[in-house]
Amino acid sequence: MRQAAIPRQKRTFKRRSAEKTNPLAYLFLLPAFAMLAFFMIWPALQTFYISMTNWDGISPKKFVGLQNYIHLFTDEPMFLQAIKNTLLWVVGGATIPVGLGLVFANFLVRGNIRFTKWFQMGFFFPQIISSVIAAVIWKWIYDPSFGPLSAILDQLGIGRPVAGWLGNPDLVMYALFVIFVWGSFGYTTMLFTAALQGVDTQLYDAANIDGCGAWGQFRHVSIPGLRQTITTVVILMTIGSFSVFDIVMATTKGGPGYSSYVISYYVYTQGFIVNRLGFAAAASIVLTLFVLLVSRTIIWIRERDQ
Amino acid sequence: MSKAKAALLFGSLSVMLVSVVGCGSNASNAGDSAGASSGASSGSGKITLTVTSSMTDEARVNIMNETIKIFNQTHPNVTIQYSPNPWSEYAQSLKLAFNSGSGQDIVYVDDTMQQMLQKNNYLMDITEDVKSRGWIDKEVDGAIDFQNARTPGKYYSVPYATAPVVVYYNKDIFSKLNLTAPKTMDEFNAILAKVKEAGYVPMENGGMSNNSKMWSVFHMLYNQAPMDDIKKFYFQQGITPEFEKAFVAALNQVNDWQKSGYYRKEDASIDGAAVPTYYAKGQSAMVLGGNWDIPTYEGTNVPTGAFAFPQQDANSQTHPIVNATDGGWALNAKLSDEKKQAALDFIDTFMNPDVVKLWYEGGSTPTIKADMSGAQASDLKKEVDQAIQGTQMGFFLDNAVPGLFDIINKQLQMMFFQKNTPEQAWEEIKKEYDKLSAAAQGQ
Repeated sequence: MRQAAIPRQKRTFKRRSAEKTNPLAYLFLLPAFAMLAFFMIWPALQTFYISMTNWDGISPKKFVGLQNYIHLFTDEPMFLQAIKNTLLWVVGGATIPVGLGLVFANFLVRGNIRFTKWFQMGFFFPQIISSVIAAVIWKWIYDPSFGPLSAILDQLGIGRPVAGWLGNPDLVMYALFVIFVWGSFGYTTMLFTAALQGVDTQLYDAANIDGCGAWGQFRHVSIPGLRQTITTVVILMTIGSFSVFDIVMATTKGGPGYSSYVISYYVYTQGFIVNRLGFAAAASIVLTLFVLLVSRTIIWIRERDQ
Repeated sequence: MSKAKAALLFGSLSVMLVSVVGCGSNASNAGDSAGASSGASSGSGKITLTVTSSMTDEARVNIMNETIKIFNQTHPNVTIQYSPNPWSEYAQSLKLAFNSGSGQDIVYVDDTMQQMLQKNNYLMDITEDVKSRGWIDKEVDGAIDFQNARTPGKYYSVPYATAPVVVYYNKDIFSKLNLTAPKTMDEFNAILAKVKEAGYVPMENGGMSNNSKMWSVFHMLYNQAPMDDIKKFYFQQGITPEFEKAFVAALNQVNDWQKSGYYRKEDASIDGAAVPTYYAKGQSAMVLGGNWDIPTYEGTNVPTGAFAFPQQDANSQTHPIVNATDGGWALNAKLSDEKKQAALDFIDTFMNPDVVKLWYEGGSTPTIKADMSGAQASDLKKEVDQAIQGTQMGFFLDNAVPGLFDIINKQLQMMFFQKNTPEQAWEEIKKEYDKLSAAAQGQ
């Protein structure tokens, strides 16, 4: 019997079909799927149900339909402020740490510098600290009287805001964002470093021969070579930015006023401080939809470009 | 299917089966032990009572352990399992515990937690026991009623301490400027101005949580609004025009203090927990704090005294201050008769003069009538007790509805940066109060 008689596409299709109907594969996937269903899918469905009630966490649930969702967008100026702050955070979080990571990774891999491993370790160090501890440390750094930042600026004769950073509504988001970038750029650097090492060095040689300088090589070789990784990192940082909570909780608690209110903190406040769990569940569903929408958009843009 | 695949399949199925059966047997074992716990081992005479509170600091945990030892001297067959939870998560831990059917036997609740549990029938009505055990007479007048103010005539919990807020002051600064503790708001304002002029910080606050400002507002409300109107607000029965007027006046006063520079310039960025550190610099004249802050301010090595927040004027007949019952011991509604008696005996231990003395010497302000003249207390503790003599109890008004503290704090923060006026701040507080009241009442 000659295999060549069966077209290649058909052979591949037949093999893939065989894999899809292989019961053994599904049996091995079953435990993982059971865990996923028990710890993620079922709680998500419960959250959706709770979002349609006015539950306070202890009394019997009363079904209210979509009332919570309607109130969120019509009667909750705090939520709208939280959306605005979160979107600002996402825009910054999806660009600045990514950009910094790209630049640092390029220096580490292509920069011909010594002790690159030590630099990598140093950049990654903030990642190993709990974000809550990091936020508490930064809160002390920002302290207007006892913090080292104030002392350094005073020594250098550089002016600083009298009311401090974390208590100033015009500066608080930037101050918190510094903490976020400090904690995350090491992660993006690590990812890009690994990916950059997979880019064919002959491309750089060819670019060099063609007269491309360092900037040209970065722009025309590194970035295109890292396109997939960049998209993945942007998606990860976007999701991370949407769900930022610990930094706000450990420092400003959404203040001063509502200047640093983010959606996650709003959900926490409504659910666990104000005891409006149904309302908080509705806000968390809205947050999830935002994340899905934005992530899907980024992936669509990437696939379209491909 | 090859033998290797078959073996793998059998192995994975066996693992899944064992884990399911194991979980099931663990769950049934937990159910059995929970059942044994709530049903008590009446046959053997040994009883275990689970107790929880939000008192997690080492000092009060130690005093609690001493209290349990004293209880066990007369009840050797009763084991107390005491496990406190931090205040920040205490309400949630109670909700989870009672919702899941594993609520503790004895819980320490403030009145909002008591309301939350009682309206869902998780707490036992102990009105008859309170009366028959003579606890009303053992407590200072009105303490038990105050703790159970949301259920007039019915008692669900019994307090043993109050939490007064007083004004701590720097004795050195007061001495240098020839100042004495003010009795009226005019005297208080004069002191603030004089201290500011002398180059000191008149008042510490901690703008990230604004406790001092908030308590100042509450004290001024007690000075200016009728107590009935305050009670209406506190019990979610609405806001009267008099109350509204007094609240706006209080916010305006705090705003004037702010504009006059009576708080630090960088106050907005100072955390409430850092206030004692700033006070310890010795440049601050006054700070509002609770009796739970006594050890902290003693530890600053700044000579510190205390006085009650002043009245509006010297002719005031009453002088309520922020001084609510700290909490009360309540019983799980599902306790068996045997466990209930043991739990009531445990609460009775807190009325024992030796136990009252323990807590008094640890810094608490007891609601139990007892002679503390022989007790060892620090000078500051004695000054705090002296300061609140002749005052009446008043609520922590941010406890009126869950979440109100955050609302008031945020509005005070916005006032600091003039992002709103006191009138606008009040409108926002009122709007949120109405919303939160409706939510608290299940509407």
